[in-house]
Amino acid sequence: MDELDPLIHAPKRLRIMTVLSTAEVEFSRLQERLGLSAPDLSKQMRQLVDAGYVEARKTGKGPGSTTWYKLTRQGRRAYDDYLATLRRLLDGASAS
Amino acid sequence: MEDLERTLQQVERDRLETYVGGPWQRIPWWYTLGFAVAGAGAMMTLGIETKWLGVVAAVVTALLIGALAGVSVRKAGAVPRLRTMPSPLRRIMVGYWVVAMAGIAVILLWAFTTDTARPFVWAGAMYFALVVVVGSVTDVLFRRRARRLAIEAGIEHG
Repeated sequence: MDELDPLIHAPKRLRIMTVLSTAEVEFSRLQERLGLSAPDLSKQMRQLVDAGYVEARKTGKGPGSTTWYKLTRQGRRAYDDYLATLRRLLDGASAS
Repeated sequence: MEDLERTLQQVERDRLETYVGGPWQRIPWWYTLGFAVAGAGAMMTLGIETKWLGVVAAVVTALLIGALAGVSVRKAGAVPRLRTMPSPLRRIMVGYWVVAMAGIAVILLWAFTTDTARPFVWAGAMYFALVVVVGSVTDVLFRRRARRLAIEAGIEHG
């Protein structure tokens, strides 16, 4: 039975993973693009970082510092598997 | 099942948006010009005969190129991957690199084999013209194609 990774399947995290699958992105750009509040995005990012799907990189110091995010190899594999499963489920549904 | 279909549609829109939306539009207009100047400077340093001056000039142009790259990345707030870029856009980028690299190779070959006085000054000027023309054409083609893709995907309205 195909199962979608629940950590990725949550709508906000899926959008984050999708954006990060195409680019390394800075926190405020990610926030602006997804329309999330800073605390909400931080919470989602923490879960993805803790799962080993996303890697954070800080640049600069003090108030001008920024955090950049990108998918780890594990995260990229999990995301690709997620998409493959999603497509399989949809193909299965349209075939039956 | 409709939920899953909507999920997949959202995924496809989000993937596309990296390439047709914000990051590219935030890159300043003088970016191509800056790279053309820095690259031309790098090429001209090849003709400097005083060793220490050549080294200083090379370091300065390397720093300038690094600074330009840093500014553009900071402004864009994203470093998009070429691998996941939609193929119509990837073809334009690959075309740019192929034309630019071939042009640079021809210019360098000419500079190293010609009898013209100050060949690397001329080579720098040719490089500048090459990057400005090819870079500007690529920019226009890219933006036009990106806009068309955005309209097709419903991200932007025509």
